[in-house]
Amino acid sequence: MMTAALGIGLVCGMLAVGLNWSVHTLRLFITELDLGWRSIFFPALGAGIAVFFVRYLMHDNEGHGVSSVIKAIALGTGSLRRRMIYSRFFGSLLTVGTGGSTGLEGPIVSIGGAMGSALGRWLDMNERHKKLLVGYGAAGAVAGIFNAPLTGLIFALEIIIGEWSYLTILPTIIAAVSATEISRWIMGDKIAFFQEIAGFSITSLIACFALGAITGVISILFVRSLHVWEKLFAKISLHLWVRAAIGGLSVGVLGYYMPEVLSEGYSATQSFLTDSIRPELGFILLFVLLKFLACGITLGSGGVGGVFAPSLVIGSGVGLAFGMILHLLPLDGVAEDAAFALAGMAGMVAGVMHGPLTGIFLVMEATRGYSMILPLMLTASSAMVVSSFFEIGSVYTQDLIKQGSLIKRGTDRYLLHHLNIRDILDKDFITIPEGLLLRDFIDEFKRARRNYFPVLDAEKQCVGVVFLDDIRPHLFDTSLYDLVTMGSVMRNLPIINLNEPINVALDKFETSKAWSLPVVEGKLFLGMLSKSTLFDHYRRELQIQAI
Amino acid sequence: MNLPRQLKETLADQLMQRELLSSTGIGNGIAVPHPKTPLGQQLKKSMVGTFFLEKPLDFKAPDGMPVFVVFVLLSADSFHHLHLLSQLARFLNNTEVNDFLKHSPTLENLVDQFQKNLAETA
Repeated sequence: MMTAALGIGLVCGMLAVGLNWSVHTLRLFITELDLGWRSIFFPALGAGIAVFFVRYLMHDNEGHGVSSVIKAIALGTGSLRRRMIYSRFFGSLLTVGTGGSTGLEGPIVSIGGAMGSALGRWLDMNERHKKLLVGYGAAGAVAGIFNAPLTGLIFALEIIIGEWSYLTILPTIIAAVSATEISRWIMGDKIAFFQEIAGFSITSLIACFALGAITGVISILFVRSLHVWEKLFAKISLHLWVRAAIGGLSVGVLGYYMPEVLSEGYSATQSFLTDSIRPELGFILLFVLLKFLACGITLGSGGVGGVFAPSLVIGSGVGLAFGMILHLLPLDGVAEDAAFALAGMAGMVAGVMHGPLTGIFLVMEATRGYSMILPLMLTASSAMVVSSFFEIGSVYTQDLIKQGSLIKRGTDRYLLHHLNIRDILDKDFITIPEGLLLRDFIDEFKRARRNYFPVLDAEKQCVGVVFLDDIRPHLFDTSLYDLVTMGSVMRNLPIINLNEPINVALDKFETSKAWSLPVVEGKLFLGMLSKSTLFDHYRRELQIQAI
Repeated sequence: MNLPRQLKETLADQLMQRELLSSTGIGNGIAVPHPKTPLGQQLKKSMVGTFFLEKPLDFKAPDGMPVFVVFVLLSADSFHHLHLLSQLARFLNNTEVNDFLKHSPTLENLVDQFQKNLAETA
């Protein structure tokens, strides 16, 4: 697993750097064309081609990506389609490179996850290892793109894998470190948002609670606005690529008036943090509003990208505005505006992605500074509390929760979900026809190893089960030998379908009070599922998961 | 027999299905027809209906004798089915009872005889 994690980390690091470089090169090329108002068509062109490529040529319908990675780990077999690597790479390159207001981190995580999944399939790994490889890929992708190994590690553990054990932590570290090293080797050891922050007074720390609450509320509005835009664009009965082009055109118009909202928007964040002459408060508030709209339109219309970068950029604007307002108040010892901008970034990541640790470590690593740790912790936790109070999950997990597709690791449901009913069926029993007389049953019963007998009808379908305990008192009553048929003494039990979730099967055990239930696939009787066998495997799975 | 309407409509068919599996005639002109499977929700409680036939019927009984009395056994579940069938079989497997039945006794006499027989064999 360590070697696989190393390989995944190196490849994901290179892909992250490659995508980042490609996007910035395309962006620079378009900017240098200097086409004036005609540049409003570039986001439309990029988004339209991207969606045509992703949806019609690559047949990739997995949504915005990170959700499908989480779903593949939580519910599925750790399998992501290999074509996702190409579709997300070129889709996000076209969307973001031409000005689409979204981020590269989501697509990079999908690419990393798909790489891990492809490697797992190639090495013929079992489900559990394949899922971990998907997580290592996500860690490598984030570490590589941000040049931040700790953030990659924490992001993968907190948001993607959701499990903190040595089997997950050590290889994830390897993946994150190798991705970061390859990123540094190619691009140099660049710091995303360098900003030295002096001390933080008690007043400023208290203010961070308020900033956290504000970013928490804005996170909720941001995530809800994405759903609203998706619904609005879904009402347009045109081809998907046309919808994306319409969205792109709208973003192009917004970008014509405020170019900072285009693409990822990190240049605006950098300017908020470092420029000696700060923009006006009104400009910052307008920027936040337009970025909010531009990102919602880009993603809602089907553009390929993620919410990580927009969250950071909006968070920096909100934090900066908050700091500027604080300085207008008669307070002593208020920290500099840039410090609040950084705290706002952590708050938005915590609120949108429900990943407070990811937010804290990202800003810490991106600024190479430990001095911000307390305000970051306070802001992120406050934002998380507010957001999780009103929202059932993060931007990545809300839909999965609604579909019932999100199963948290370590829970009973997760353990049960990972038991394969077909593998644990009892098959060393004797089936009997429903017309079998008690006299003939005696012969069958002599060679039986189980105390139950599934009863099959003329079409070989299971119609019930005869339990030895039910008929034992009458086994030697010869007056009944030619009168009792097995169909008349069987119990009608609920039948488990092989494709049912195992928790549904458990409910059937609970309601019927039976210890064994018949399992069918379609109409074909497969065997009996015994509660004791089920719990025996559950205990074994519990031991594996605890490692 | 006081039965729910839906059961009344399907009972003959259910009894025939069981008969097709094997005869419920137990010899000496007696048969214990019953449905192939317990009736479950179709019936509130198990019951036995006794019918003396005007014209004896061929039930393909093991001894080949035509059946003159039938005990229709309707049970809600397999437990009661086995329990009732066992008691009935024990009651009917008695030459005195066989003679008694040939006189088409009243319901009260039949129940008395059944209880007396049960007490003796208990």
